[in-house]
Parts: sequence; structure tokens; C-alpha cells
Amino acid sequence: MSAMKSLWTSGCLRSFAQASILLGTIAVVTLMPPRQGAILIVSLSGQNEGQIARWAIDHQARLLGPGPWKHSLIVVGERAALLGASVDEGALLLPGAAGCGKEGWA
Amino acid sequence: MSAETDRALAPLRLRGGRIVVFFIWVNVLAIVPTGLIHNHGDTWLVLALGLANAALPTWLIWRRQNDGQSRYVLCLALILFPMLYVYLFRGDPWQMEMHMYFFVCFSLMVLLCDPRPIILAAAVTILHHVLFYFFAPSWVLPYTGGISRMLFHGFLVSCEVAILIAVIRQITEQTVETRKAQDDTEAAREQAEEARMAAEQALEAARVAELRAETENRSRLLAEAELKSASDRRRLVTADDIEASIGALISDLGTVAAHFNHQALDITSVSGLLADEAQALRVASEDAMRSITSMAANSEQLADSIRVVGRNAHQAQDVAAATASAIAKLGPGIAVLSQEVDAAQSILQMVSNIANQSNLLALNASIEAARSGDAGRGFAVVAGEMKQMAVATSRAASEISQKLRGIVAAADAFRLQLDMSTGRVDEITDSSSAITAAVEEQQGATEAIARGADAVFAKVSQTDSRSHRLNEAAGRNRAIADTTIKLADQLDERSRALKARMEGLLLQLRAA
Repeated sequence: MSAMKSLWTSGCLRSFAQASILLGTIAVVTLMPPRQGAILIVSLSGQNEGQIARWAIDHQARLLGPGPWKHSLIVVGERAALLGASVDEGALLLPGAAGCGKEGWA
Repeated sequence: MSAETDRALAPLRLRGGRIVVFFIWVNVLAIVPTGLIHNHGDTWLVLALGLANAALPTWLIWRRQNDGQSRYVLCLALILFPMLYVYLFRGDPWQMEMHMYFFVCFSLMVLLCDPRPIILAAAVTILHHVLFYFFAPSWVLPYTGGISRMLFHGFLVSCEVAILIAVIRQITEQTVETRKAQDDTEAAREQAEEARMAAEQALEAARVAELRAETENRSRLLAEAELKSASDRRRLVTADDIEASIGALISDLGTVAAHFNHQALDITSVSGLLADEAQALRVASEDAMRSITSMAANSEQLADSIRVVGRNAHQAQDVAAATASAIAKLGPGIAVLSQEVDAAQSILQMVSNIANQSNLLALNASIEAARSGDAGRGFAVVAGEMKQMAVATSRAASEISQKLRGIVAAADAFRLQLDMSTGRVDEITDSSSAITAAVEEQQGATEAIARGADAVFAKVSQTDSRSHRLNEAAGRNRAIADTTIKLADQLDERSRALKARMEGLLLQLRAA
């Protein structure tokens, strides 16, 4: 406890806490898929693009194109609709559009 | 950065930190309207991130924390808001323009007057773009150009940071100089203030002293007037008293000086006598030391001679003892010789008897030969020869007897001489023993003389050194007496001068 207090007094812990907030925010704003729009689906369970497309279409998504990596697909849909299915199917939802630009992966 | 610089920049940094925190909260408050205008689905999430981001910097500034780590926190918080607004503008054509907001925030960090947080914020900005470029390039730069555009962006950010650092340095230098000038001015002002206060105090003290001096001056004038009248009365009385007391004192001083002078002269004469006596004593002691030294040498020679005599006496005693022993051994030899002579006399008597019997026998033989006639003629010749031989033997025995008697007489005389010699040798032995005893006594006496001479020498040496000290003491006595004479003369002279001066003063005192 005293070591923690001295670390806080020296200021290192303060800088570390603020840096953690910064890195967390960068991660959120960069990796958070949009509420509605282009979403990149990355399968972590080894599903191919066809299998991904099947459950994505089942959840009102439209196919936009292949993803940048193997076992990935870009769709246009709602994040809330796809989120539950992605958990069930073992897939990751990422933003389909670029963080700093307009066009993104499409 | 030195402590002096930190101290000079501290107020500026605190004020800048407050402005930065204010700017952060403006950004936080603008999140909601911006999100609503752009109909962004994650407005409340962004608001939560903004609030979390603003919490720590606000708390630090509220606690007036303004150290280097706090400035890092402020800059990290500030650089986050351009990211949040770029996120809020996602999908909007104006999103690229929001990137200029980074440069606004960098410029705002100048208010903290510390280049290190700016470098950190720029590094974070560039680094996360570079990382995403390699991980997901289309997220960072969706348009053409690739790495060269990325490097160009990094170059621009670096230029911005370099310019800001140069500005901070100039601000720092100016602030430090200003602070130094302020400190100097403040120190000079404090010194001037202290000097002014000291001058005022001195002025006040001078006023008080002046008033006191005036009062005292008036009192003094009054006192002087009273004193003058009293002193006039007292002066005459005092003059009489002085004349009576000091006059007697001067007279006593003159008497004492004269007495001192006489005493010093007596001491001088006594010191001279003492020095002369000491010198004579010294000469006598030196003569005595020389005599004692000579006596010691002579006694040493005498001791050597006595030792030689002792050795000779011992040798003579030994020789006498050896002689007595030899004489004692001669006595029995003489006795044996007498016995042998007596034995020889007996034998000689027997030879004489045999010769007489042979003569008688020869006579009888001659008689018988004569009776025998011619037949006995040869026998008569043998008898005659035999008779002659008996006579010769008797005559030889008689001569030997005489010689033996002479030997006996000589041996008796020799024994008598031996007896006399034995008595003389005993006398010699007794005399040698007496000489040896006398020599030993003389050796003891000589050693006692030597010890006495050493003791006398030591005493005379002490006497000599004491005569030295006596002479020195006499010299010091004489010097003291001379000084006393001088002092007595000076005392006499001063008492005369004092008397003359006192008479003059008394005249003046009575005339005043």
C-alpha cells in the first residue's frame, strides 16, 4: 500500500493511468464496429466466407465484399443484430470503414 | 531543467494547466451536441470516454499539482479529444478536416511550457498511426499514397513539434530572465525599503537625541553655574589640602629616593665584595682541584708501587718457604751421611785389624822362612812382600780414617750452619709475612686516600660551581642596585618636578 502511495506521489502511476485511458480509448474508437453500416466479420472458429455469409444474411445483413484476411467478410448491417450471432458463431466484429477515412475496406 | 527555471515557470504552467483543463471540459461538453448533429450511434459511449479522460487532469489541477508527471497527464488527455471527434465524424466528409484538430491541441500544449509532454503526445499520435498502417492500412489511410503519405504526415507533425519546442524555449528563457529581473527588483526594493525604514528610524532617533541633548544642555548649564560657585569655594580648600597632603608626600618621596640611593650604593659595594670573594673562592677551588688531581695521580702511582712491593714480598716469602723446605730435607741427609761415615770407620777398623794381623803373619812367616834356610828363601821374600803390603794397608786405612774424620767434622759444621740457616729463613718468612700485611694495609690506606680525593674533588667542584653562581648572583645584584640607583635618581627628580608643578598649580588654583 505504501509502495503504491509512493508510486502515486512520484507521478508515475498518474501518467500510467492516463496512458491506459488513452490506449483504451484508441482501442475502442478504432475497433468498435459502427451501429449501422459496413462491418468486418472475422471468424475465429475457422468458418469460411460462405458460412459467415449464411448467418450474416440470416441476421438482415447485406454482403459487401471479401475481407482483407482469410475467414473474413465485409457486410452492411446493424451491429446489434449481428452481435449476438457473432458470439454464437465465434466471430469478431470490426469496423468495415476506415477509422480515419471514408472508404474503409469496401 | 534547473530548479530555478522550474520555479520561474511554475505560475505560467499552473495557469496553462487551468486553461488546458478548461479546454478539455469544453470538448467534453461539445461531444453530445456533435454526436446528435451527426446522429452518431455511440455518442454516449464517447461522452463516457471523454469524462473518464477528463477526470484525472481535473483532479490534478484542482489539487494544484503542477509537476512533470502532471503535465504528461494533461497532454495525454488533451491529445485524446481529436481522436474522439474524428471518431464522431466517422463517415462524414469533414472527418479529414478534424485531423487538423491535433495541431490545435499540440499548440495548446505550449501553455504548459514543457517540451517533453508534447514530444510524448506526438509520439503517441505518430506511433498509433504507424502501427495501424502495418496492421490495417486502410483504416489509417484509405486513399492512395501508402507509406510515403504516412511519412509525410509524420514529418509535418515533427515540424510542428519542433516549432513548438523552439517557442517553449524562447518563452522559458524570457520567463526566467523576467523572473530573475523581478527577483532582483524585489530584492532591491526590499533593500531600499529596509534602508528607508532604517533611515526613518535613524532620523527619529536623531530627533529624540537632539531633544534630549537640548534638555541635557540646559540642565548642564544650570549645573555648571551651581558647580562653579561651589567649586570656587572648594578650590581654595582643596588647594590647601593638596598642598598639605601632596607636599608631605613629595617630601616623603624625596626621603625615600635618597634612602633608596644609599641602600643601592651599599648593595653595590657588598655585591663587589661578594664578587671578589667569589672570584677568590673560584681560584682557590681551581687550585684545590688541580692539587687533588695531582694527589690522586700520586696516590695511584703509590698504589702501583705498593702492589709491586706486595708481589715481591709474596715471592720472597715463597722463596724462603722453598728454602726452608730444602734445608729441612738436608738435615736427614747429613744424619745419614754421619751414619755412613761411622759404618765406614768400623769397616776401616776391621781393615786396620786385618793389616795388623797380616803384618804379624808375615813376621811369623819370615821367622819360619829363616828357620827353613835356603828352602825358605823364596818364602821369606813372599813374607817380606806381604809385610810391606800389610804396612801399606795399615797406612792407607789410617789415612782414610783421617779423611773420614774430616768428613764428619765438615758434616757437623754443615749441620750447624743448616740449623742457623733454618732460623734465618724462618725470620725471613716472618719478615715477608709482616711486609705482606703492611702492604695490604698500605693498599687499603691508598684506596681510602683515592676515595677521599674523589670526594674532596666532588665537593671542590660543587664549591667551584657555587662560586660561579655566587659570582652571577653578585652581578645581578649589582645590576639591580644600578637600576635602583637610576630609579631613585628618577624618583628624586620627579618628586622635585612634582613639587615645582604642584606649587605652580596651587598658585593658579588660588588665583582662579
